[in-house]
Amino acid sequence: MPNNEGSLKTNRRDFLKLCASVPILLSLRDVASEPLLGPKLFSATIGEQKLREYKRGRRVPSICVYCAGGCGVVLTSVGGKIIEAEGDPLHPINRGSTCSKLAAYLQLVNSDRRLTRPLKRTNPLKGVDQDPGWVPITWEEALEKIAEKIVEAAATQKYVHEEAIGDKTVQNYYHVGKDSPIMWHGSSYWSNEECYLAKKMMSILGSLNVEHQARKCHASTVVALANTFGFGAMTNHIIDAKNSKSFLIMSNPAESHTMEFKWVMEAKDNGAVIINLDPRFNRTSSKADIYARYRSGAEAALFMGLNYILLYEMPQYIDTKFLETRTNAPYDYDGNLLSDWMTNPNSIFNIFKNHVKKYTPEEVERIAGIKAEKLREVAKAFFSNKPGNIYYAMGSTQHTNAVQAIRAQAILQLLLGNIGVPGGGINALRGISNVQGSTDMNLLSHLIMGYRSPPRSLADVRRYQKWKNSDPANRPGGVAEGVKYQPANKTEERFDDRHFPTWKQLEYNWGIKIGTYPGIDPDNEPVICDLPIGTGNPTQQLFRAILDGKIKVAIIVGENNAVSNPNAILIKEALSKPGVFVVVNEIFETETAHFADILLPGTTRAERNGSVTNTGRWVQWHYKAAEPPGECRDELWFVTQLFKIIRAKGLKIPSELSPYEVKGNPDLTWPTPYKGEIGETPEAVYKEFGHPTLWSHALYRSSWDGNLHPELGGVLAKRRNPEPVSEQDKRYGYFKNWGWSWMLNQRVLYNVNEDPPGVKTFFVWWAHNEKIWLGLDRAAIWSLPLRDASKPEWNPLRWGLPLHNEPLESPDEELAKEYPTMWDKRFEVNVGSPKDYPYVMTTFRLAEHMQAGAMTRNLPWLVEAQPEMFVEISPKLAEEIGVKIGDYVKVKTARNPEGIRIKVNITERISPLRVNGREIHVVGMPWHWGFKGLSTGPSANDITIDAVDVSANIPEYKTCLCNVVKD
Amino acid sequence: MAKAVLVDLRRCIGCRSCQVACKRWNERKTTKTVLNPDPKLEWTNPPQLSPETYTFVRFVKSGSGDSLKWHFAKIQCNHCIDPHCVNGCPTTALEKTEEGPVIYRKELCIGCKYCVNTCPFGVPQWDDKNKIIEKCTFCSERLKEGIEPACVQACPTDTLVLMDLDEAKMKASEAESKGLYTYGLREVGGTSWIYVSDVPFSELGFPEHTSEPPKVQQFSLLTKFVGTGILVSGALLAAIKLYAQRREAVAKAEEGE
Amino acid sequence: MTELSWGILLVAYLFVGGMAGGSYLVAALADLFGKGRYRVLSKSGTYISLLLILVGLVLLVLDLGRFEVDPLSPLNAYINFPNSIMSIGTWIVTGFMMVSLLTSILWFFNGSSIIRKLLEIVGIALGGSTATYTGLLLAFSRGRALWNTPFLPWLFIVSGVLTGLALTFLFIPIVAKLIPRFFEDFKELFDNRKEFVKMLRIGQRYLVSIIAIELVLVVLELVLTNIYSEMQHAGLSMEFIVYLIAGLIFPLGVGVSIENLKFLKNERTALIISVVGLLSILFGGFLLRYILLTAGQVVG
Repeated sequence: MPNNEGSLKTNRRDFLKLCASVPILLSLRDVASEPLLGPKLFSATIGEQKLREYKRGRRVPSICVYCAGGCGVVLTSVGGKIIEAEGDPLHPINRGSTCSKLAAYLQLVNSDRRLTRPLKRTNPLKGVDQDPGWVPITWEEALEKIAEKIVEAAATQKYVHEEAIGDKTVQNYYHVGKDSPIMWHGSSYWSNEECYLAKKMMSILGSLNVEHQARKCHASTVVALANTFGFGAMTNHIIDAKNSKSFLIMSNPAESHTMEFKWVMEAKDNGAVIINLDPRFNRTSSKADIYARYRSGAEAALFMGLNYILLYEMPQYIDTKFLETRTNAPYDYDGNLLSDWMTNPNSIFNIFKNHVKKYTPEEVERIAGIKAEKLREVAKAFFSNKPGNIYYAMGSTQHTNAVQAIRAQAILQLLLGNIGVPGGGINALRGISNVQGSTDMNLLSHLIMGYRSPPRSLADVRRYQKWKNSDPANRPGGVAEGVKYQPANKTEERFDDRHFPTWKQLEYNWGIKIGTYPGIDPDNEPVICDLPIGTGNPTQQLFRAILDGKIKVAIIVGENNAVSNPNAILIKEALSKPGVFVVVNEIFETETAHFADILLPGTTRAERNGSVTNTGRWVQWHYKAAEPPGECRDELWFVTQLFKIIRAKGLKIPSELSPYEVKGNPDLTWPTPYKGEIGETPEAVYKEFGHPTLWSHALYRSSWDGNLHPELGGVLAKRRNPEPVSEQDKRYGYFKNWGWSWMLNQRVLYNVNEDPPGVKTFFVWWAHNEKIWLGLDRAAIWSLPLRDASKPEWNPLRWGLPLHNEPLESPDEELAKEYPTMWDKRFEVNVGSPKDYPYVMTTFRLAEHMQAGAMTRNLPWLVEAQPEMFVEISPKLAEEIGVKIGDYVKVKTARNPEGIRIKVNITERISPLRVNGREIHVVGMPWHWGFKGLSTGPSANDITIDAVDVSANIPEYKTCLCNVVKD
Repeated sequence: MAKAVLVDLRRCIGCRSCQVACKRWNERKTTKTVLNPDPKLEWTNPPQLSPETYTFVRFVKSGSGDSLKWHFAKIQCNHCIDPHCVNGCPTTALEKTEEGPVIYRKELCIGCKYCVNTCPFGVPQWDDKNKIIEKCTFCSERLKEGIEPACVQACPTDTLVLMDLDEAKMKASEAESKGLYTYGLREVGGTSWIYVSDVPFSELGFPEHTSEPPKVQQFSLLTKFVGTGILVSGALLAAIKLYAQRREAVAKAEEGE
Repeated sequence: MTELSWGILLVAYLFVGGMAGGSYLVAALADLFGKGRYRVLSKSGTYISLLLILVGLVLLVLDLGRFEVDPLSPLNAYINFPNSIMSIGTWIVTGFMMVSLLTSILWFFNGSSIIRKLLEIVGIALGGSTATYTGLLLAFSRGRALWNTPFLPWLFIVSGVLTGLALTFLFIPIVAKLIPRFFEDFKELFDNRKEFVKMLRIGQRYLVSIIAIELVLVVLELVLTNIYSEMQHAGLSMEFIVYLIAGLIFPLGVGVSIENLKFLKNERTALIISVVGLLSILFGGFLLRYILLTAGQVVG
């Protein structure tokens, strides 16, 4: 801020000077200045008053709570009240600017609609129409009650498992993660430290029924990209867009990730071409050089088509050097490097080339409804302008074949050599401010910490014990005289290499035990394992588990499943189920909170410290600017206290319950082993997962470095130095002294030229048999883990290579036969036929609203800008069903044949497509609304389909069939 | 030094951060809105300026089919170089400051609402509850401190850029020479907010105005007024003369009977 | 729909102010050039102008939005002279009010006719300006296409003179009936019915000419601007037609027929018809202000 001393004096002088400069006014203005006519001094305007306050305020840097852009916010507080929340002018990503949501952040922080006291439900009946009958209680009462319920529920979980080994029976002590009656859902709005603690607590409680938003937004990205490159994250970062020469945008960053578009526009200034493919013409399309519609659900076909054009029609754009040196394209299935791979039919390159043969642009036109010529135009523009950048988000990730659709995109980028270069990449735009961090902290049912699995079976634990025995001095519970580690095969070795160091560290950091007793003969001894075993229920299955009576306590924090899960009617039914104790921690009374038994008032990010990780993997620190209102308590405190009370109430972990002398003691290390040093602070938790010499978190290792930045307490996320560290940094905009990014501060993943370097290799091990490992540094066009030879020919999993598959609800029966859906009926889903539900329905987001809406539908400024729920249909469909703009329609699907009643917006931005020779209507609606908040409306997810991707369990939100009738 | 904002509508993505940032800094409340029922202006909300809305983004569609375009135009006070409101205000409650903003001092205001009606862009809004005029202030107080206006600071795509007036004029002229459209370079004698766009501004609902500043416009109107007067009265005098002659003739004829 | 910043009070002010200026103008001219024939008429016009300008001022001040917040604030309207047409108008109206007051006093107490006539010369300028400035004020409004024409001020002036004259005539019988004690010459004139009707008949000739001018202006507006379509846009086309009939065509008919139709030779009938015609003029004058002011704001 500029120095403004003496400014008022200057103003007065200017004022007089202005008078003097207009002679005709002079005499009368002098009269006017006399008290007789008009006052001499003016009262301050609103802006002047605000500026006066602003100038005496305390400024604190924070990070935006909305999308995962990671924009900087400066909070100004006066007398403990936040009076201004603006873009951080120093912040390299947003440079002081904001989107409309962040612009309204102040209204969120200061909202009088916020929850300020813990509330207890008095009405035992639950339902949308039931008044919960809230009565305020104290935090102590609330935590006591929750702990009581958890202890009670935990007591019902089996911890002794008998196992027949040879002719004797041993009693193993452990929890099966999926069987836990305690579930946790959320939250990507929480900081890394809070998520870490939540996962730590739930794991110690023996539950793998832990899920959060990430399952529903980019679970498929993680599977697809991790199996292609090694890490399941956006390869580049936000600012890096400025280095691109072309963009193939499959998402809507202008609305959903507004700040991303700052950098897209910067690239456009430098001549970059913007291509936007979307079923709906949206605000991103308005800035595109090439825009084309396609049918939602045809993303895989679209990219297989682009791969076809590249391989058959425009091979001059293939980056053969990149393929040869950095991918598995030149190998055959058996791992032999083929010198003539370009021509050898056995090379993965040619196998893939053969694989895409079917996807001619004409075939893609038939499937996706995009004109073949348009697709060629897109291809030419994207291929010929390198580096090219693919942006995608929910439009690609929320399908039953999402992993394949994303793999097809990733492979295209590999063929073009657009990976590992600034301005290139396949960039998954993540939707919530810390969804990358909460994913990294693995609040997911199948992961434990740093993308490691919990023990999959007892065999894993037994092998782990042997591994510990091999180096008893350095591994807790290792027994020198015990059987030593000897992996049976390469697959096992690979798993053990990745997991055992982490498990070991968790034993230290979490105060738990994993192993056998006494450890001498692990294969024949009882297993004692405080880590839950197996995998838990992914989100949609988790709510079905509630309906099946398997869950007794549901803790939902910072997440609004009643609006955000598909087929939300089922979710609301689950939340209403008697006998399930629902605890919700929220800042507003959300649709989900409406079902709570105990509703806890959370805090906004402005009121707490911690680190968050943006979509480009930048870990940044946010500082507390004010005390929360009323009795709101911060989330770290909540988890810390809750676990303490649970333990005080006598909850025991399997090792403690076992008769053996191997006893874990999680209390000593709760919330973190560093509490003695720096107290129960976020910094202490951060140190636990960020410590450079530990393996408690594979990705965040070294994000804490006491030697490098003692003045920051070693917390590298706190770095706020926008100065470049190298020529490259300056040129490409890495900002390596700003925050920290994984791995080891690498800003563009897999970029071998990055200076200074972090971890720059690919991290895919693609074993083809049990003998050979192919190196870490080759990206996988052909992916072994995504291969299952038992699958039929139409299934991409048979090949380890993507194919197009129709969504579960395909509008064309012929296509559905030719390209069968990947859905494997893992649970019952109501499916409609095109006869009853002829239109393709998709959902979308608005710049002014956030996800399930609690953080925006409660803010008047944003409600004013996008006041109500609507459904968008084309003028043609409107004519067919006889509605005018502003009329109401019923949108019906097989999940909800009654339909939901929505106001209709008729717009040319949506238009029918020709699919398989027939005209197919497309219907789109935002999904931000629900029955609570300042602006209420029907939830789109009350009718979306709940089938999930077979590899990643992400629901197929983006495509289903519907019917629209006039109401 | 006179400041200006160059509004390059080609860069606007319609995110409305300016709209909200303005409401935040100037502590504006909201107006009750519904989904905008005008098919051409869909999503424009609030649909117009009001005492609570100093600025809003107008969403305008043009073309159809493959040539469909969606334009976003931020509307606010244009802070004319020589403002009609300042010129017309009987009390000098409105004032053009040296930095560029047209500001309002309620202590001088009598509530005549002439500015509401004389503004070529329909900007000033009468707040009948608080009995004051409300309009965009160009964040005058921030400008004085060297801080950008709230909306300019908020704009993610540099659609809004604060610069010296001369520079803005130069850039707009340059854009014009490249075949782009401008608004505010000449209109009403020039404004401190100058727009650049790739579509004609009439399509975006901007009123057409000549380049006359208020005094010139008033003078030319006065000239026309007097001219019309002379013309009409001349014609009338002639008519009366003819009428009188005819009456005389009739009278004579009657006498003759 | 945009909220109208200028409502019925301002319509009334524009109407009353125009009439005040117009009536004084007519009164002064009649006095200066009437060779003593129209003393009562001049008096009536002068008194009316004073009455109306006072009423107008009250209306104006009531319409000022900040009067109730700061009752002294209206005085600020003098400040921005001579930049602001409205400030100029404030000075004009003030001056006119003074002159009108002095003229009225001189008339009432039979004061010096020299001074009176000198005042009237000044008053003609100020009264004319009072009737003119409101029209110019609207015409200077660049944000209102409907007002932004050189015809509008003329329309206001002509209508002001027309309605002013009409009210001047009407004022005579009213005063003669209501308070004859202070206005004996009024009573005298009115009681001498034949004389009065004769004066009315002569007056009608003038009215007809003025209506003709107003018609010409309206026709010019219709031909040269898209006033009618804007009236339609503002939903005021019906009112516009009513104005044309009540404010122009009907009184024109009255004026023409009163001289030419035989059955109107009857004094009583002529009087009644004349009064109806005069009232119709007043109604039309008010309607004109109303539709122009409203449509201008609605259309923008």
